[in-house]
Amino acid sequence: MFAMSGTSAAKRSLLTLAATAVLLVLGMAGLDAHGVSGKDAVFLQGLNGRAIVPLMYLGAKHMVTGYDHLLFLVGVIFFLYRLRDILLYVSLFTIGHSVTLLAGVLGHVHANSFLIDAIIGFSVVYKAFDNMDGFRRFFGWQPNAKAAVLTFGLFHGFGLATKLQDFALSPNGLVANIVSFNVGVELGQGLALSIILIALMYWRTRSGFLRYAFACNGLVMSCGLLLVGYQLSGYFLTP
Amino acid sequence: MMTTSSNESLALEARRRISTMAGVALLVAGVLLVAVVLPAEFAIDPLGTGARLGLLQLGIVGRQVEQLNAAAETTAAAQSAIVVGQERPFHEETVSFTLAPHEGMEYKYRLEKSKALLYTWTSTAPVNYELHAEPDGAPTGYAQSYEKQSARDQASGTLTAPFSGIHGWFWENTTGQEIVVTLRTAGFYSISHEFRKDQPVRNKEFH
Repeated sequence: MFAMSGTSAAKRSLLTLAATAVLLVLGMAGLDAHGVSGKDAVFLQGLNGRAIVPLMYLGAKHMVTGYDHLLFLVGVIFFLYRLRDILLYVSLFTIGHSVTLLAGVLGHVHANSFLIDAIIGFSVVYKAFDNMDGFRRFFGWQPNAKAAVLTFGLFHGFGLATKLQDFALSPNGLVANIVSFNVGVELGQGLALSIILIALMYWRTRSGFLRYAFACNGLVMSCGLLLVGYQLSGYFLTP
Repeated sequence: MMTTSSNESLALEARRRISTMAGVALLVAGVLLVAVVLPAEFAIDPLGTGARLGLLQLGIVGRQVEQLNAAAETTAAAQSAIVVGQERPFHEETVSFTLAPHEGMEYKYRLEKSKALLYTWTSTAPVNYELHAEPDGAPTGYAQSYEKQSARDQASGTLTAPFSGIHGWFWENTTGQEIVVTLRTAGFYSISHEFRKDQPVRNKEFH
């Protein structure tokens, strides 16, 4: 019953993958993960001076509706069972993206947002491959997971920075506004993490968890690959 | 000896499993990218799936909007001629519109590319307004916004059309009373259109 032949296992994972990836694509239409949506953009451009709560709200909204950040977080905490580890890894991610968000906007470091978002997509693929034990199995070597989370955190923060830099933000109250946006990002991340954790913890108590964990990481990898393809298409096709 | 070979076959099996899953993941992502995302986002449809699923139209409209936005920016920057001669004299008019409580309406002129318009409007009470245009051939519902303000009772200015299309105002009466908006214009327009909700469009020709 549980011992499936190679082909039927592959067929089943293919079906699960396809179904969920379709849902993901449909979901993309409803979320504005990339960039800031129309009315928020108008608000940002018209801003002159401090707007702490609105910027916090936008930061939180960006995180909660940002499927690329969420997928990476799912990958990172997938096999973390102890609260101490979860806090440690999430803190590393937070430090990473806060540094580049602040430095990027305040230091006027410009990067192509398609390429940054492609790297963010790649971070999802990387983490899924790591969760499949791919590094140890193929290369006989386990890269430092903490260093990876910190490094990819730097890229995620840069992604957030390029979104904000698309708008001619007024220098008036800029530091307070960016810090507020960053605080909002952390609040949104905390909210999203709690929901992911509750779902994961419930799932872990079920007998099927380990059996489907592998397929689930395959799904996460597929989503990451789709993000990479989508962003690279944007890079090459957008004039 | 026995353990080594069984460990090796276990490792081989694990590698095979990971490769299969990664391959499937890549295949699914690739198929979705080419069949769904490329047509919907970039109007590229190599398999014809976008046309069949109706997604291609989404990409085409997106492309058009991008091009229109880009065109408006470049033409606006390029319009710097000081004197532009015209073959016909300009038209002028003064029109008044009565807006019922909370009613919104639009009044727009047909202007060909690079034709100019001078305007002044006043209102008996502050209104919300937007000065915008619909380029010829743009997707339905697309409008290029030039200026948007709330609670104003007058505005004046000049407009040089960045593209051929209809250009004009949306006014919204936010009060509970009837108000009157009076518009004075002079320009090289040919037709005007008055749009009101649930009413046929009223056209006026200028010869």
